[in-house]
Amino acid sequence: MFQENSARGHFAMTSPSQTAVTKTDTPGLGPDSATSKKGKNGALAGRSPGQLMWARFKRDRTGVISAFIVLSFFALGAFAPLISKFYGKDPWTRYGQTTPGLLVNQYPAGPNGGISSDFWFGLEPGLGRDVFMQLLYGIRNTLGLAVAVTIVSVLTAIVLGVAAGYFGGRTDYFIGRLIDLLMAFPNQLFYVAFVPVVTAIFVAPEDEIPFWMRCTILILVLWFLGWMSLARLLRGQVLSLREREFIEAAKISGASPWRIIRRELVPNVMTPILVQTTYMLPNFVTSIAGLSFLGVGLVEPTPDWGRMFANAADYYHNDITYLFFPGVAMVLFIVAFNLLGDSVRDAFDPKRAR
Amino acid sequence: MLRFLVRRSLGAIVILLLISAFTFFLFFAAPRDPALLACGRNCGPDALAIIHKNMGLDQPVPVQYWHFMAGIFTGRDFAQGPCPAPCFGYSFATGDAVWNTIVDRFPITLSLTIGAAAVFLFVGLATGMLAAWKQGTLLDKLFSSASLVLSSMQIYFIGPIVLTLLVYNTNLLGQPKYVPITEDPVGWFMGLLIPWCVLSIIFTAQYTRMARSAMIEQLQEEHVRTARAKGMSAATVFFRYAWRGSLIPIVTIFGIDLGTLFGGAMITEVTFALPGLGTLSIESVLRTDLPTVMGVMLFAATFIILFNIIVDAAYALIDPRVRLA
Amino acid sequence: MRRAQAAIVALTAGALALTACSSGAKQGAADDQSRKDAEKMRGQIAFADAAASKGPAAPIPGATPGGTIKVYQRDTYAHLDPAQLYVSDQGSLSTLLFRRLTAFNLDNKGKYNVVGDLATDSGQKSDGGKTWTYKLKDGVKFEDGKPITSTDLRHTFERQFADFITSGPTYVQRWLADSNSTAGYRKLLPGGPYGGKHLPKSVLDTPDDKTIVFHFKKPVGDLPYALALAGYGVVEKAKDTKEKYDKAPVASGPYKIQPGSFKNGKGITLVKNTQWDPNTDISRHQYADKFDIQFSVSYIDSTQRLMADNTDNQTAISFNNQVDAASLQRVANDPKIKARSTSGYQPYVGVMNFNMRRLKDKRIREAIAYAMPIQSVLDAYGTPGGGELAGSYISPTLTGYKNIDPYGKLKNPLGDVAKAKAILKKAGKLGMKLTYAHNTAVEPLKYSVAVADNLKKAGFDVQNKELPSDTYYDIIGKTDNQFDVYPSAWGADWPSALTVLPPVYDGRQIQDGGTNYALYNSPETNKEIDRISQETDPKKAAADWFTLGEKILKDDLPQIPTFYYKQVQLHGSKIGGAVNNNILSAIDPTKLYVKK
Repeated sequence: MFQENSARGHFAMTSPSQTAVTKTDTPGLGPDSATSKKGKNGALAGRSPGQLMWARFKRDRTGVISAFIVLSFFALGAFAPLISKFYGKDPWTRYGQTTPGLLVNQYPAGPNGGISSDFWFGLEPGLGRDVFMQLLYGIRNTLGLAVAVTIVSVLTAIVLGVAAGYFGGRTDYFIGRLIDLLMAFPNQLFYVAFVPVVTAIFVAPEDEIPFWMRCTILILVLWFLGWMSLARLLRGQVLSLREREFIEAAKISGASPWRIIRRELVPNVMTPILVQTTYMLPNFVTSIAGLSFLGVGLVEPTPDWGRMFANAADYYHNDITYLFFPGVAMVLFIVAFNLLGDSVRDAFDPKRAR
Repeated sequence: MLRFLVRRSLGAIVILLLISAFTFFLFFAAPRDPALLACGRNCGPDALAIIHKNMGLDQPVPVQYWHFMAGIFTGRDFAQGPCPAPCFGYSFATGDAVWNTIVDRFPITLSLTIGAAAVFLFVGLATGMLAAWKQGTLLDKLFSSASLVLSSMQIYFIGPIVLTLLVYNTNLLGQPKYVPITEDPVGWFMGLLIPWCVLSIIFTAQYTRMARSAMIEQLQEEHVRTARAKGMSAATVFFRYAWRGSLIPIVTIFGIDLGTLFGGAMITEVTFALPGLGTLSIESVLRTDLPTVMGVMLFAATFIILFNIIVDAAYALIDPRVRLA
Repeated sequence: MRRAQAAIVALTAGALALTACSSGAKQGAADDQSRKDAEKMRGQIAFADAAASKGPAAPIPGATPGGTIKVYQRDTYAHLDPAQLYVSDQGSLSTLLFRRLTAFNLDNKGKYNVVGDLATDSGQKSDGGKTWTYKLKDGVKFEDGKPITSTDLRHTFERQFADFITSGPTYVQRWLADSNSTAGYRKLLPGGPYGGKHLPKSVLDTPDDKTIVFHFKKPVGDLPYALALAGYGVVEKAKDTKEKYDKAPVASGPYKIQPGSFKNGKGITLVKNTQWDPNTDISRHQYADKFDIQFSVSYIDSTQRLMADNTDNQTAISFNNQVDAASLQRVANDPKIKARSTSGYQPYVGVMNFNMRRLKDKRIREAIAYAMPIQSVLDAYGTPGGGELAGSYISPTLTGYKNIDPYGKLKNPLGDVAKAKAILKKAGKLGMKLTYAHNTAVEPLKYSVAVADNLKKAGFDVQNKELPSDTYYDIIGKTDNQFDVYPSAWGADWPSALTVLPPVYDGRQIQDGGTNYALYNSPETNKEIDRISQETDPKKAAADWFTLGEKILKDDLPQIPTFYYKQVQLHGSKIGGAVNNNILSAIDPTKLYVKK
């Protein structure tokens, strides 16, 4: 959300101007763009669409580098405990408070936020924890949540989008109105307003909120307004695929709707799903970080990427180094992911390559 | 056209009703007593009961919802005094009429949005079209790469850096603040300059990318190619025909962005401590101040829906191929 | 083209790296001045006679009239009705707006006393302290020019019993009704004076236009202090609009509210009250023409603005915003900024409560006390200057204060985890479940990480519970709360331990919404509280209070003190007369002027 304008992608599609607008960030639709079909027709002899895409992607050096960076972030997150072991520190110990001389009046005694061979990214002002470890575990938690929201949202979008497109009629109407309704929600305000409310519904004020519960609530709230754009896109795709001969053929041969959806429709919309997913995930990452920045995300002592920015807001006047590492990591991650998204799209749809 | 407007307005009202009901009932499902907020330190059970009554919290939730919705159109009477329509009730936390608070805070959000929008629309279009015009040159590469990096920035990251560079370390500019334009136009401008720039950095970058690709697409359109084939110079084609076509999708998105931003640019307002609608909403959320949250939620949703309708209508006016069913 | 993108990424990163360089922190000099001020204040606040209560106030040397002072405030004033005023920001505001029967006066030499404000003196006591008589000064008026009479004052006190008055002090009402509970005193005059009912003459008497007599059932020694509280500011009877008075009160002090200027979250403007006569007022001045108060300016913001001291901010100040915790070290290390700062104690003592109904074994409470990292708690409020580590329940600003440290917390402020663990092991309670609750304000969120960490290391199974900050005290104030350890802070309402020990440690006052948060009930302590409350010699009472506090801490340990609150405030370079007032625990607003 907290790119202030993330709502836009969704709303663009509520308008009749759909195609014109969405062209900028989705592969072209319609009869001439089903790339995968060309492979099936044998025009490009004997290679599956996946192989084709992979071959194109491998040639795109920026894409490969971005993919490498993105994957390293996920690897860093996944192996954070292992790295912690090698590095010899953890994200919870208050080194600065327990070891005299590291912090003076709450701030790192050494220059540049207390960066040293012991503390690679310096120390957190106040509590004196290790910034490198905080960031690593923060990335781990944020990416974990973002992946979870993305998976749930994509699954919802597939189910509802394909159902609306394939069954049409009343199903389509109701799903369409539901999407209209959800898209009119001011999504920033919704996230901020409903994380505490949903929490209060599930947890009595006297009880500690378990970690898994906090995560579930965050996922739930982000999912609630996170699936519509992809669903609407898939609906459009399926609507046009529905009229195609191979679906007709499947119908005549007596295949059940479920089989048609599973075997014929979904494989044919994998391209937009994959491309949209690469745009959704970084959006969820910034949304989760934004929630933490505004004080309604994960809480202490769980390390959290976005909360580091909220902490930094207190300290940056006197120790800007502390803001630096989470900030640069965030920019690097988002840039890499956006580049990766472009490359994936180009690889799927070579006609659109710039 | 008229039928379209009527139909969409009716749809909008239904959506607003649903949003308000959803918000209202979810908030009341949360077991927190908003009256505790309004009750002071010496709040006994008697005083609490009075506040419950004053706030109308002693009635069943659906009745409360009905009173709330009716109040928007007809006004209500509270212990604090009559609340003329449109009445969103009184804040649980401050005791102020919610509508007055919104009217008070909105100019700040409006100033922030309009200024930023002017910057990002103008700069974004200019750079994007220039990049398309000079497609493939160094300039194009420069603009495109810069926009890629800048659009990945986060306000809570660059905001503090810009403040450190321009305000705290060098004193080049003052701390961002809001002064009404009617009081002091120069102060208004200077006070919002940094928030405008920071907020528009992200948008500008995206408009650059959008304008560039829309323009390139236009240049491949048939009527443009025909014009070119007829012997018009590249510049004439570019400035007379192509740019107009490329504006359509951008205007659409611009309208939608404006609608969203009018509801409050939360992160920007919090980062620069501007007391607009965004700050108001986070404040009231953290204080369980339901009437204010409801007010801001409906206010923001209205803008989103309104601008969607405007955009669709405008689109139909510009492009005859789109029919308003 | 993608290569160019990579180059730009690298360039941006480089630029960012440059801005991120910073030097290390420096040790700031300790601030001893506030300690000396506090010592000066202890035990010397006298009740002034008529001669010492006569206006006008001695002029501030060098002060000139005129100019507008800009005031940055974090919080919107929650109330403007004098009877609803209680907390510190309201205290500062009410000093400028509303007069009371008595007032705390800080003279130019730094001495405090209690003077007659509307009254000619600080009060005449008779009948062994059961009857107090006040005479009004001549020439005291409301902002509309109407004279202030005993009818207005009767109304001022009678409306304190109305149900809509819930936020102000309750001392005088409770003394009049001889009631100990928050609900009980209202029975004396249910609904207040609005139904035409009044307090009987035997309780509150106004024999003529200028005289008010209070009759109490038991001797009351501290009445002149209590009447000086912001909550007892005078209300004009003819203009009382009940709940609505909270939005438009009638001023009686040197300033009044510019009509329509109050906007929640934005600000309020105070202008000179021309009906205020300086010759009737010993404790206030009227130098500035206008106070332009802005709300919603965070501590960080006001600190940054006042540190910058550019043209906009040279005539700016904040009544109640402090230097934010993160900037204290810069203020301490920059002599130019430090010269524009004022500092002092606040009356609050921070404590960690032990729920006495759940933690019955004193050894467990001891273990927690030893493990408590009070330095981390203080750090969250900022060093140097945010406070001072505490060894006792009674603040250094109170008469009778002595430096004690029965649990060695001052020597080992980061907590002695090993010792705590040993005690817990001896008690056979290693691994016991312990619920630690705290609210979600910035500081508790920070220090709670350290608190929970230490308790865990000491061998507790810590359940860390976050409570919403706006209703935190309501939740921990429930007698059946399910928490074991929770922080709170209590401050004296006036410099006497009478406003500290009875509200916090009297077991008979345990009730929902009460202030005995530890639910501590010891018959011995209760008896001692009763005895000292009746003590007429203030010096002896002060010493006895302190001894009792020390005994509770050593023998029963219902709470472990963490730190004494302090504050540092800044003002612009063109502001004159900036001094800290320990009674307001903030800068004194009536002495301010704009330097020419």
